[in-house]
Amino acid sequence: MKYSNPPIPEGINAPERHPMRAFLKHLLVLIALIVGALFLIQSCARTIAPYVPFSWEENLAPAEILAEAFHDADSSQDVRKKLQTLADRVAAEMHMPEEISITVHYSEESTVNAFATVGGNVIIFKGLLGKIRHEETLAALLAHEMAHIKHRDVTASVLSGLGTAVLSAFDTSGFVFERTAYLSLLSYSRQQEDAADHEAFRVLGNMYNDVSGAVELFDILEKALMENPAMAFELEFFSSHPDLKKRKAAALALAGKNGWKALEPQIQYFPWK
Amino acid sequence: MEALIYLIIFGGLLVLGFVIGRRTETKHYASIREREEKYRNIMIVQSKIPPDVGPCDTVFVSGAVVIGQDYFKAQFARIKKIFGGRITPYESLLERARREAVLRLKEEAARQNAQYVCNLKFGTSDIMSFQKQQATDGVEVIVTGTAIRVNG
Repeated sequence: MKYSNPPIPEGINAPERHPMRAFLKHLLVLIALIVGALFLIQSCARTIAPYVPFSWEENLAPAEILAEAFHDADSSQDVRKKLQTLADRVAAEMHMPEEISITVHYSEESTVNAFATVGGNVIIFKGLLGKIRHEETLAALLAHEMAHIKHRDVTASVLSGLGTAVLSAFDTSGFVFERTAYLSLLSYSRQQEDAADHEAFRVLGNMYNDVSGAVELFDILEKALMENPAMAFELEFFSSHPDLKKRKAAALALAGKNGWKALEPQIQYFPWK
Repeated sequence: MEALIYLIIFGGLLVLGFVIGRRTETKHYASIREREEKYRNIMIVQSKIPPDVGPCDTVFVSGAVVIGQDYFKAQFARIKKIFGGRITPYESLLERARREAVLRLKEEAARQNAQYVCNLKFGTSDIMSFQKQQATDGVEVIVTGTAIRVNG
């Protein structure tokens, strides 16, 4: 027997010629699939949310537990009562469904923020409240947060979070699902914020015939954002909220359409005093 | 902002991994072809029983290599696994590792003045990151054989 040793032919075991092209093709298909799946989850969550009894939400986060979590001192009870009084007025103006009750909590942390959470609870931080000087501005803030509760945005977020968590269990791509899901959910969050803003503008228009409270609120938030250099350059695409300039423009546009004023808030209000 | 920074870092690593990985792979293949030509005189006979070459000495030889995956191919492979089919990013990795291991075996055989190597056996092992269970960071290939040095 004669043995020979010819050169090995190339390109049989590893024929990939354009790996970057193949990678981009697969990546785009995967992103499209993830966005599609998340759209389905979000749509289902928003459809189901209004039918979830509000009492189930209240059981998830009883007001007493949140009160204990956020009330730092007895002195804040006075502030909380004043906030609750204004919230009740805003709720009446918003024609809040009967089953939904709003409870306002006040935290003495310096965070410049406020948020609505499950069970009709709204938390306002001292950092933000301390910058508010007018009743209209505070009403704008409360109306916005309460609009999230009225629209059942919180319930929809919980349901879509559950759906996303189930979907992520099948994920083997790691980073692609996580980042695509995050950016997709930011987009849905911006839509919810837009809707909450419009509800708040309508409430201000009805209560005060004036949306300047909302404009002042956006000015306060914009100033607070500029104080944080990292946040100052944030693009809307990467943010859970629409751009503040756009939000102001929306308020002024709605005011123009309905004949509401948009000059300066008039009613001075310092609930922490 | 955090998402934007993450995307920039990820994109940068992908491009860097692609460019450097491609360059490394091209250089490695060139080195493989050069050395395959150099050791063409050593015959690989894939049989358990040595070839009938007359009086000879035998010696155990082996070659082993660990080749790491570049960032681009690692991420590409993770995405490919979702769709199934050929995981093409790993094919060149395995081919390079196999050919390199055989070349190192031949180098050892050459040092033993052998003319043939028979009864080759391959072993492959996946080098995984313990933090990311689904990613393959590299592969180890070990090849063993019997080198035959013809007397006279």
